[in-house]
Order: sequence, then structure tokens, then C-alpha cells
Amino acid sequence: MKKYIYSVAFLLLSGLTACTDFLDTKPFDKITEEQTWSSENLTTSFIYQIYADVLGSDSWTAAYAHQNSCRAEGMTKNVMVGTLNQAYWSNDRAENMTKQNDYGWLSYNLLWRIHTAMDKIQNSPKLPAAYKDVAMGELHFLRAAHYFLYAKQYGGLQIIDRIYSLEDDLQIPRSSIKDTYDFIIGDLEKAATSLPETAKRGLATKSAANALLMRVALQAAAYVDGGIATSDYYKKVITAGKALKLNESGSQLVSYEKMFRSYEQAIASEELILTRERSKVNTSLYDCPMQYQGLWNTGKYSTYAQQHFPINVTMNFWGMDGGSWPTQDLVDDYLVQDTNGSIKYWGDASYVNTGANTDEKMYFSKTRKRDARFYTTVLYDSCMYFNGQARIFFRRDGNCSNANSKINEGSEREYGYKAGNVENYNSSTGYAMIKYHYDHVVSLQDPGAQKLDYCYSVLRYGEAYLNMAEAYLMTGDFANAKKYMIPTMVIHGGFNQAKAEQYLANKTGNDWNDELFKAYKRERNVEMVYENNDRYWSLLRWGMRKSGGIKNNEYLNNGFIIPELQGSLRGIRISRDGKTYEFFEDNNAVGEARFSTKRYLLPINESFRLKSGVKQNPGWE
Amino acid sequence: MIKQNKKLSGHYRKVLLGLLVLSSIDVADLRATTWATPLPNGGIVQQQKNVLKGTIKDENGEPIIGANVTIKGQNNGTITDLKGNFVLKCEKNDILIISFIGYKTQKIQLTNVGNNLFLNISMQSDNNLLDEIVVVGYGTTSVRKNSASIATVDTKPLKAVPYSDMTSALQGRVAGVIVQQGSAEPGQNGASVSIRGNGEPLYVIDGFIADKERFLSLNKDDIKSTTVLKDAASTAVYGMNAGNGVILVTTKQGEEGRLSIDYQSNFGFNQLSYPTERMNAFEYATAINKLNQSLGQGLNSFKSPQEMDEIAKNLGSYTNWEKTCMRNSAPQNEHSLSISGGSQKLKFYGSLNYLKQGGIYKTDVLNLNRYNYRTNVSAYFDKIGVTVDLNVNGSIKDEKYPGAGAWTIYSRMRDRTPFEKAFNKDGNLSNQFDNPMLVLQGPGYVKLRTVYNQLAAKVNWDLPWVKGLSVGFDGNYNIESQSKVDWKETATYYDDNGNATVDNPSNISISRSAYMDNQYDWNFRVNYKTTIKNNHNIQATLVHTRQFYKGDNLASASNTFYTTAIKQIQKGDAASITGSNWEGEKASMGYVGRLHYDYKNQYIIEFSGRYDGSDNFPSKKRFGFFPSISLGWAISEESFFKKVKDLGVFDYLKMRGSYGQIGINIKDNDDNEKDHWDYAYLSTYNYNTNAYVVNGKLVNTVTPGSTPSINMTWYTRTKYDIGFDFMTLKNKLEGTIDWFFEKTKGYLSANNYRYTKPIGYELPLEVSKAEDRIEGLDGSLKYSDKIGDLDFSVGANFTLYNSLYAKTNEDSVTLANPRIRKQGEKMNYVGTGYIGTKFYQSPEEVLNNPKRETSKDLRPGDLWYADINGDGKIDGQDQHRYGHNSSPSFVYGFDIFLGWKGFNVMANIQGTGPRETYMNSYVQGSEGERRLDFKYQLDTWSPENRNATFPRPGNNSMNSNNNYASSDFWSVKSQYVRLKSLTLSYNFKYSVLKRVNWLQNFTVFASGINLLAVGPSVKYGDPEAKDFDGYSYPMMRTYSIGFQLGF
Repeated sequence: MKKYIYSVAFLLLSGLTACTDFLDTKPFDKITEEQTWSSENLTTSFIYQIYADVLGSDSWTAAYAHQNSCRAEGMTKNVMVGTLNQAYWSNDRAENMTKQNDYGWLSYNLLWRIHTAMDKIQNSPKLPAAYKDVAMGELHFLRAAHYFLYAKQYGGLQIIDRIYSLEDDLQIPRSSIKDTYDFIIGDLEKAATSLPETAKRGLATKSAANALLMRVALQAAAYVDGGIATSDYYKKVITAGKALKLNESGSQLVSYEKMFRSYEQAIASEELILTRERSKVNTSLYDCPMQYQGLWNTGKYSTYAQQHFPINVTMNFWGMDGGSWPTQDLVDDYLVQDTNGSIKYWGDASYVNTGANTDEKMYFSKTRKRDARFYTTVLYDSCMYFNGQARIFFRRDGNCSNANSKINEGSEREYGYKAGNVENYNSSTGYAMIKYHYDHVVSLQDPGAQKLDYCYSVLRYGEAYLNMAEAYLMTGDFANAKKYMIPTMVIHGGFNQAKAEQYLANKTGNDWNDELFKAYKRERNVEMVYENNDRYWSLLRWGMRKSGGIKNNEYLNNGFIIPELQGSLRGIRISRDGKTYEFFEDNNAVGEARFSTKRYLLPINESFRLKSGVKQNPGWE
Repeated sequence: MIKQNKKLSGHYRKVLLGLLVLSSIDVADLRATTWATPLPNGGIVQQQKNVLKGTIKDENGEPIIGANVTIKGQNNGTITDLKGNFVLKCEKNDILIISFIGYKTQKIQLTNVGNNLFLNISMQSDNNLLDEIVVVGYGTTSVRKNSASIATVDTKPLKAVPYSDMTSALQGRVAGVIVQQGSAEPGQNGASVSIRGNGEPLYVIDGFIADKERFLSLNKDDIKSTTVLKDAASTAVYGMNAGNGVILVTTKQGEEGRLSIDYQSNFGFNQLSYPTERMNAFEYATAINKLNQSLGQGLNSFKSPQEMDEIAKNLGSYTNWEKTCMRNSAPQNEHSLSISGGSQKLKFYGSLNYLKQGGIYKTDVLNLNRYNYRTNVSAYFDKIGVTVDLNVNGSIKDEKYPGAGAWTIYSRMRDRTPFEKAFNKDGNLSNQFDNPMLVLQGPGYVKLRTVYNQLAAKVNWDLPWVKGLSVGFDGNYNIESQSKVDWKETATYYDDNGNATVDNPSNISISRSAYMDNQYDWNFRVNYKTTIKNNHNIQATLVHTRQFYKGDNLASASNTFYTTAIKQIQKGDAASITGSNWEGEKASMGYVGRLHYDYKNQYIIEFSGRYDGSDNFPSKKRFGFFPSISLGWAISEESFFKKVKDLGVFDYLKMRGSYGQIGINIKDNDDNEKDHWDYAYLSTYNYNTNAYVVNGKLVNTVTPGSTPSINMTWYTRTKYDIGFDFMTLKNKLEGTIDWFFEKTKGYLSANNYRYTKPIGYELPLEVSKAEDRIEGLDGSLKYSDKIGDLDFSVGANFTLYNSLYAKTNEDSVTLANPRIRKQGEKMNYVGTGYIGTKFYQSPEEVLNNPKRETSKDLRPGDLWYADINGDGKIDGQDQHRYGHNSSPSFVYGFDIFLGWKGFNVMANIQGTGPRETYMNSYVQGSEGERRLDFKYQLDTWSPENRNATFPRPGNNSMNSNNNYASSDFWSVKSQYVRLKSLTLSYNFKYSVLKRVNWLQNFTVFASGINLLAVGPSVKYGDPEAKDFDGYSYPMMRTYSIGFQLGF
């Protein structure tokens, strides 16, 4: 009997002991902090995520997120957004934003990660000094890029340059605009010294730091110094431009089309200084701008159009109602080479009188007389689309003109039926966007299944040239300004060097309506359209220069109202036979584009402001 | 506590069991005849054996059919026939044992035997079944000894009801249990289950902690008993996992006696329970015309009057999407076979079950096939007092779904208009955008096979040296594995010109995944049970228990298939192949103790608790103690109560109370609080795959994990319960009622009182001061009686509770408007927004009253919100909590049983108290034309229709969304009463099959679920659904017929 009792007791005891081990389970899919900072590999991976977060937050597709609309092309008159210019998408263009809007703020988590990495890397006994130097350069670069995104929107920001703890005063006030820009420029100058000359694609280099510095310093010159010719920030732009070895021949520039119409050519192009790529492993049409550019055809268009403009392929399960239809306002900015070779505004060229039809007057499909960037950027009436699958007609009663848009207004009266394509996801301006649209893409039912590699330009030489030109222009050095404007006109625009020089020869002045400044604005728009919403921030920069900059939260000259940010959008109505055209103006329920001076600095979300205690921007209180 | 349905069960069982044994009666008769054959001759009398005849009747003199008559210590035995007669051979001094369920077992010593002996035996009904065994956590008790709040569910009456899962079967049947079904999608239709308003309960099957999925897929025929543990006293033994209550299931064991085989088949079909009527083309065009008119686009801008006339003439030529995509009914059938029997030394039970459910879609793309098996074998080694139970069971579940989920399909169906077409004129699939038929007719599918196998063993040893002391070991090992394949391929479709779009190979993809979950549990038990001086009953239990889980999965995918004949990953584009896996483990352990003492079952005190540990917490903080105490006082057993008893009013009355602290350590999605995520206490970094691209190649990245919460712990729920159990009117009426009060503390929350965001990382979770409370009543009442041949019972049960945010972790912004903050408020409101909403009926009302600043174009027929703070304008400060959400806090149910000469009627009626369902933006139509679907949406305000359901036509961009802002206007009353189930059956053993010896039971039945509902929201759809938008798989009404055979 005792034997039994003992064995029972033994069983009991063995069951009751060793419980701590039993509950000591571990996760299989995590690493520790210690492992991370003692490995060069993992430290690099830590920085990669910061790249992903910083560069990803200013992407083209941000247009689709309402929160980022202030950074989207739809803020300007370059595009009509949404099917039929819907209210939702055009809200901010009509200046309907209030302090209840939330356009984001510095990501504290990102800054904490940057500062944690800076701290751990600098204090690491294991990491080699050369590695530390490059890594620190990258972190400074990324911190600057992150800050600049919000400095453009709000002006002065909270300057957080280290790890904050609970013991710190966390009601951090906003610094002045000057301090904020100086902080960013300081970071970029550090980055420019420690970053390498070359790096793997997707990582920052010396050139990237200099290129970003040019962009930042131009903005700073306007907002901090009111764009006075003597501003030190212009000097910084020029210094950085020289470091980038910019030259009259534009030797770093490549064909515009190569950068935007196929992945393979984009990554091979030397013009791109910093890119953000996506891999086909996890990228489909849904994850790139093409998602928003799609045209639809499911055969639902008029019998006339089916006879005259047939499409023998179904194009649907495609774009989204975000849409981004280029306006006539944008198209007007593409210059044309007239019969005598001179470069002109298209409306001033002889073809307007001699052309037999709209194409011969405006688009020159066969001879390609417009600025070459036009053909890379804009899809117009009677172009082939979807890798040659279909010919698209945006004209009245065309196979891809939106039946409900002004293009087909009054068609029932005219033809007795609703003309155009009744699928709403079709052009309502007469144009569609194809910059950043890869040529090999065809129409498939499920865009999610069409996997592809994709390459965004973050920084490139084309912009650097124009930034250089702008710095000279603003300082009154018109000769140098022209010198740096010509390379993009020639290499990207496809114009003859001499004719470009001739086009600029008599132009001078840097006030808003001065000819040289107007030519510069036009050149910059056609060069940078759909990239980083450059048009909007540039207009603000130039307008701020007219306003004299911000001192003590006030505009020195009472605030300049930017004419380009006001009024209706324009589209084209080409006749059914393609021979004639007229322009129409379009607005939506929320009205035409509006701009008042408070827009130079956007409102800070009120509920964030109440918690953080930061000051609101002027005009939004 | 009184068993739910007990009396019903008593009667039901009596009848059923009677029927079950009919054939053996005949066999016994036959045998008896054989034995008795010599009798008339009087000559051949077996030596020493005499023939005993007798009749067994109940207290009312009615014969008892199927009572067991055996002789102690022998295998001899028989069963009474339809007249209650039996014949048995016996010897002098044999002890006759007469037993029948529901009656007290009698022992009669045959002091005098002879051939003409005839016994008239009257059986006493086992009064109130107070001593019947009730299974509780880690043991058993009886109604008489119980002092906790528990309820048992008699699942037997459910046998003929075509419930495809167990949760629905609990609805409306148990006091304290609230069940709401939201969808009836085969394989997905698990209803939400709550005990007294708490979250998902713990499920325990045959003594081992299981999960809801296992409970759902039980063969309901296998269930012997289901107990619901509600208060602290009953749940403390499950420690930190039992805060939401426990549902405890015991499966059938073989029973000593004859071998029996049961077979049941039922064939059913499902129909939409409350299909909402869609607008036809004319109505839709009218609605859009009105909408456009409201938006300033003029009269008839969508369809001109001529077009409208044309539409009205050709209504049949437009699409009704429901009819296009769904069939009238979906089939469902179930077959179960069980075998049971055994001797004192070896008992066995085995069963097979097959369930098939089809989907309501027109094509057969959705179906569920489930196969269950179970064998329970119990061996008793009488010489050493050891019992060994082996329980092997498992299931295979095969699910097939279309290439898109129900939500996608239904949303596409809803978003279509009558003017769109699924098919072209030639009958081919059209290129309609988001055509639901493209999915339903497409070659794509999702298939899942889930296999579960469990091997459980229990050993119990009654130690021979100490009477009442036993030790035991229970162990269980189970494996669940699943194989899933998701084949994506789109059907070919055609545009209006007949151009075909064939799926591009790169569009065709496959993904497969598989997982295997392994889990073992074991319990080591010591029990001691003794009675001192006949009056002092002591029972003690100690258990050490452990659970360990380890699981992993593997998933892979590829795309671009040039042939669809082979659906294998490696046949796709090699460059597209991806793969991933996961693995993890979890462990928990506990020490359970229970000490019971009662004095003559009159005064009861019981302590129970668990010292419980979980790997969710940092070492040294892993264990918590969860104690409880309960007291019971059977007042009816007091001498002073005798007079009351004699009056025949109260036969039994017990008062009981309990108190205890239970834990909650589960991922429970409470809106305000963080959950117990795995390893939240560990400082970890995440290694993220494919997060950035460097040189064209995806690279991995590292991010800090969430801030380690080293102080995290379980939530503590303190529970109080006071209850009464009673039996009255000669035990015909029994009832129980409980008051309960629960306080939950220890919610984890980051310290949000101070603004700390700029530090850049989340503060760790700490135990906050937040506290929730629930208070309520639940109870049940059942009256059972017999009038002539009519057996009947009527039962009622209810649950009523209030839940409160006693203290919250609200931040400073929320605190600013006391009308929308939660603290001190009931939990179950619908939302916050404007209240007191009505229509502006005239321009004067618009002019002379407060309005929203942004609503610049208010007109009659727009919504007029109350100016709560009286500041003359309507803004955020006027917002207020409103309504009672769709989770009812009062539910009730009625169970009705009628039995007459083989005919049975069983019905269950279930209903809720106040409840409201929010009409979301889809139903409001605020998103414009593609959300206008239903006929009732035509009921918009106009000067001629001032009491409309909807404001004047419009959408959310009209007038700054005045009408569709969150307000009580859109919160629609949705309480209901429904005939949840009804079953009619007839057993032919009562008539034509009376004499068929080999057949014990042949019953045919017809049954239905969700047959009828009454309530204000029925016009919008099934009242039980959580919304009316029709974007999810709808609720079904099920009809079925079937039969049962017993051998």
C-alpha cells in the first residue's frame, strides 16, 4: 500500500514542480533590441524602414487620401480630379478647408526611431566608423526630408532633435520658420558631407542631399527672406547646384520619356538622383499611379461611336473614381515649334490657321511639334492606348469621353441621344494622364493581378537645373537663369538649342508677369507636372516672394493672391468629326478654385493643436 | 439552480425511453413466453427457478412502459411492456431491482416465491430530480447540493430541430444566456453567445478546455448534457479564463443494458427569412428622378416621362438582382447514427454524423459538408476499483466558397440597379462592372478542409484503503489541421458588341495554405468524499492542470497559369511563387481546489478556486489566485417550513449566494481597452519582410515592437450572485431566479491622462482605474403536467441586465462634452450624435429655429435636431448618446411541449426587449444612387407624406450632409419576438408498429427554424440581423422533415 501512496505522491510532486519552465514560451517571429543594434545588417534594416516611411509619405498616390490632398496635384488647375470633378476631390482647391482638417504633422514615432538609431549607432562599440558615418548621413537626410514635407505646409515646426523622455516638457512650441529651415538645411549639409558619392538605388547619396538642399533652400528663401536677391538661401542653392556639377549642356539629363514610361528605362536613367521603387512581388496596378489614370469601356457608348470609333477590347475593372484628367490649362503650357522653327505658345503658331483639323492645329500626332514632354505626359484625342489595344477618342460622342461631362453637354438635343461613354470613369476634360503610366500595361479584368516593378522619381537633375535657374532668376542674374533653363527645354522638350536660346533671348524680369518669369513658370510646370505636387509648392513659393516672406506670423506685403490658383478649370470639346474644337469651363458644386493669403500656411488640426499646445497659423484661428 | 427543461426532459424521456425499449418488451415477452410455455401444462417446471409476473405502475396508476426489472448480481433482466407487465424467472431471496429514469429505484427481496406470484409494483417518481447528477467544472454535483448559479440545457428535444450548430440551439432556452445570430452562411453562421451580457464564454468539452469552433461543430446527437456556469462559485475553478462564464458539454457514454442503435435523417431547405423587397425598374427610376430633383438637376433628369411609361410597360425586362443571383431555397440535410450499450465492466458509445448545407446562390458554389465521429469506451476493473475511459472523436469539415466572400457578392448585388444586366441578350455573362454573377459563375473558388482529431483518456482509481478517496488522471491530445486552396480565375465575359474578355493567364492565381495546431492538456485529480454521522457531507477536490499548444502554418502562392488543368503552385510562373510560415506556442497551468460541506443538504458551504498561471505575463507575475465562496440554505428542509410544505405550495425552496473573483485573460475587443496580446510584456523588435526596395530588390526592415508592458495582468471580475431555486405545486412548477452583480477592473490602458505623444512611442499598458459593471436578473420557470394522455410542459426564461461604464480612461477631449462621455453611462447605446430629431415640416420651422451652421439650404423634409444646450445653434456641443444598440439587454424565451399518444409538438419562442438598429449610410441612401435598393427607401418625406421613414430625397453632399449626420433619427426600433423553432413528430410505435419486435422507435417529424417574427423592424429585414444593409449573407428560415429509427 505504501508503494502506491509513494507513487501517487511522486506523480503529484512531479506535476506540481517545474512550472516556471513550462510557462516560459517564446515568440518565434521576433528579434530583440540588443540583436538589432549589435548587427550591421539589422541596423541597416532599421534604417531601411525609415526610408520606406519618409519617401512613401509624399508619393503621387497620396492624392487619393483626403488627408494628403494638400500635397496632391488636384490643388492646382493642372488637373480635374474625380469623375466629373466631384466635390469630394475638389474641396481643398476651392479652399474649403478649415482647422478641423487634418493634414498630418511630424511623425513623432518616426523621429523617435531616427533618434534611437542615431543614438545607438553613435554609441555602438561594434559598428565600424565608416559605416557609422554613412548611416548618420542617411539619418540626417531622412530627418530633413521628413521635416521639409511639413515645413512647406505649416512653416515653423516643433524642432525635435533627440530622444524625448517623459521627464521632458512635452508641450513643445513651434520654432520660427527660419529656425525650422535652418534645422533642415543643417541636416542636409551634414548629410552632403557624410553620404557616399554613389549608393544602391533607393538610398541617399551626396547628390541626393544637395538636390534636396536646393529644393529646400529655394522655399526657405521665399518664406524666410521674402525672396530678396541677397538671400543667403539662394547662395546655398547655387553652391549645391555647383556641387551637383550642373552645366550648360545638361549632361546628366536623359530623354524625358525614359524616366516615366517604363521601369527598365527609368532605373537605367542617370538623371534620377534618388528613386523609390516598388517590386512586382507585392505591387500591382493598384499600388501605383496607374490605378487612378484608367479609362473605361464596356461597350456602352453610342452606335455612331461604335461605328466610327470602335474599341474591340473591354477595358474595365480598372481605374478608380479618383481620376486625374489634365486640363486645357496644363496643355496650354506645352510650347510648339512653328514652321520657321521658332518656339511659341501653341495658340500663337501658324498651325492654328493652317491646320485642317484639331490634331493639325494643336497636337501634331504625326510630326510631334509640341514640346516632347506633352507626348509623354498627356493622352489626347485619337491616341492609341493600352499598349496599342485601342484607339481612344475624347471628342464629343467619342468612345472614351464621359457622357455626363461638358464634352457631351446638349448631345441629346443635337443628336437625339446621350453621346459619349456612359461609364463614368472616362475623361471629363478631353485628356487623360499618361506620365508615370507604363507602356506595356494592357487592360485586364483584375488590376490586382497585373504585377509589376515600379519606379518613382524622388529627386532628379531636371528639377535641379530649374532650381538652379530659379536661384539665378530671383537674384536677378538672368543670363545664368536662362543658361540653366535651356537644358530641360532642349533635352526633355526636344527643342533646338539655338531656337530655345532665341525664344528666351528677349525675355527678362522676375516679377510675376515679366516675360522671363512667365517662361520659367511654364517650363517648370511642364517639366515637373505630377511630381511631388511641385506646381502648387512653387506657386506658393513665388507668391510668398511677392508677399515679402513671413515675419512674426505676418506677411510683409499683406499677402499676394496667386492668380494661377483661382478660377475655373478648362477642358476641350472637340467636334465629332475632329475638325473643330472649343474650350469649356467647368466647376463643381463646391465652386471654382479659390485662393486667399491664409493658404500660404495651412491650418493645423485643431484637436491636435489643443492637445499639443502649438500655435495656429494666421487666418485659421 | 433547477435544470432547464428538466421536467420536459422527464416526460420526454419517459415517453421516448418507453418507445426505445418497446421492441425489447416484445423480445422479453417472447422470452417470457418461451419460459412460460411450460406453465399452462403445469408439468415442466425448471428446477429452483420460479416465474414471477408483475405490473409496474406509477403513482397515478398508469402503467410504466419500459421499466427495467433485474435481479441483483445476475445478468437476468427484462423490461415492462406497453401495459407495464413483466415476466421474469427468479429464486427465493433474489433481490429484484426495478428502475426507470425519473423514478426512484426500488429493491424488493423475494422472500416468498411461487409460480403464481404476481407483484403489483408502484413506483415513486423520483420526486424533483433533486439528486440527479449535474456536471460542473472538474466534478459533478446535484441540484440538492449545489450552491452556485448554473443552468443545464436539455439538448435532447433539439434532436429533431435542424440547427446546424450548437450556438443557435441555445438561443431562447437558457436563463442568463443571450444568443444573437447575424448570418446564416453555411460554415460561417456561429451566433454570438454571451452569458449575462459578458463577452465570449469559455467552452469546456468533456472536461477539457475547447473553443467555440469545437462547440459549433459538435454533433448535437452526441451531447449528453450542457451546463452553463454563470457565477463566481461555478467558474472559479477555471481561473483567469472564466470571467465571461463557461459552457460545459459532456458527451454521451454507453449505458449498461441492452444494445441500442439509433438512426436519424433529416432533409431540409433554407429560404431567406425576411427578404427585403427591392425596387423594380420603375420605382428605382422614380427614386433617382426624385434624388436628382432634390440635387437641383430638374424634373425627370434620369428618365423622362415617356421613358418612365416605357419602363412601366416592360418591367419584366429589367433585372431583379436577387432573383438573378439567388435560388428559392438551399438544401440542407443531416444523418446520424449511434450505437450504445455495454455491461457493468465495459460500456461503449459510438456515433457517426453527416451534415450537408448548400448555399442560397443560384450556382452550387457554396456548400458545407461535415463529418463527425465519436467513440467513448469505458472499462471498469471492479477488483481494483479503476475506471478507464477512452474517448476518440473527430470531425472533417469541407467548405467550399465562391471566388469572393459573401460581403463582396452581396455588396455587388446591392449596388446594381435594375437597368444593369448580369447577362447579355445572347445569354452570355455581361461585362457589367462588379457583376456578382461573374463570381458566382466563375471557375474561381476557395476550398477548405479542416480535420480535427482528439484522443482523450481518463483514469480514475477509487483507492481501496481509504473509502471515498480517489485519484485520477485525464489527458487529451488533439490535432486540428486545415488545408486551404484559393483559386482565382475569372469567367469569360462579353461586352455589348459580343467581344469576349478571356481571363489573362497572369490574372489566374492560386494560393494554398495549411496549418496544424497541436494541443495537449492533462489534469491530475484527487477527490475525497465522505459522510460523517450520516449528516455531515464533505467533498474535496484538488486538481493540477496544464495546457500546452503548439501550432504552425505554411502558405504559398503563385500566378500566371497557361493551363488551368493543373492547379498546383509550381505550374504557375516560377518567379511569382511566394511562401511564408508562422509558428507559435502557448502554455497555461493551474491548481484547482474545491471544498464542499453540507449538513443534510440543508446548509451548504463551498469554497473553490484556482491558482492560475499563463505565459501571457512576465515570469513572477504569471500566477493569480481566483477564489470563490458560496452558501446555500434549503429553507424547505427546515422544520418551520413543514407547514408551508404541507399546504402543497412549496415543495422545495433553496436560497443561495456566491461571491468570488474571476479573471479575464483573453483577446477581447473592447472599444476602450487594449487586449492581452501575446508577449506584450517582452521587449521585441519586428523583422518586417519585403518592406523596402533597394537596387530593385525587396529588403527586410526592422521596427521597434510595441513598448513592453511589464506590469500587464489579467482583468479581474468580481461576481456576486443571489438566487432561489424552488419547486411548487407538487413539483409541477419549478423555477429559479438569480440576481447578479459583476464588477470588472484591471483594464489595461496606457496612461492617457497626460499628453505624451511627442515621445514617439506608445506608453506601456498599465492596470488602469477603469471599471465596468453589470447588474441583472435571470430566471426560469417551468410547468409540467399530464392530463389524461396529454403530456405537456411550458417553460419560460429570461435574462435582464444593465451594463455600465463605471470608470473610464477617457482623455481630456472626450471629457469636455459630458453628454457624449461614457463614464457613468450604460454601455449599450447606439452612438453619439444629434437627438430629438424630427422633420422640419414648414419653411417657418426652418426659419424660426436653431440650425446647423453649415446647413445653408434647409427645407421642409430635412432633419431638425434638438438644440440641447440651448445656445441657438446646432453643433457638436449638442451631440448626445442615444438609443439602445442591437445587442439586447433583455431577452426571453418560451419552451412548449405537448405529447399525446405518440404525437409531439415542441416549440420555442424567443424575443428581446428594447433594441435598436442603426440604419447605416447604405440604407440611408446617403451615398446616392447606387445605394437606393429597397422599396421602403421610397418612403421619403413630401408635403403629402409627412410621417415618412426617410427625409426628403438627397445625399450626403447635399446641404453639408445635414440629414445623414449621426442622429437618433436613424436608430430604428428592432425588438422582436420570433417563433424560433417548431417541431411536430409522430412515433409509429404507438400505432401500426406496436408489434414490430425488432424496431424500437420509428418517428417521423417536421421541423422549422425562424418561422415567424413580429417586430417593428421586420419590414426592413430579419430583425435579428445587426444591420439592414443586406451586405452580408442573409438569415434563413429552415424547414425540414425527417425520421428517427431505433433498434
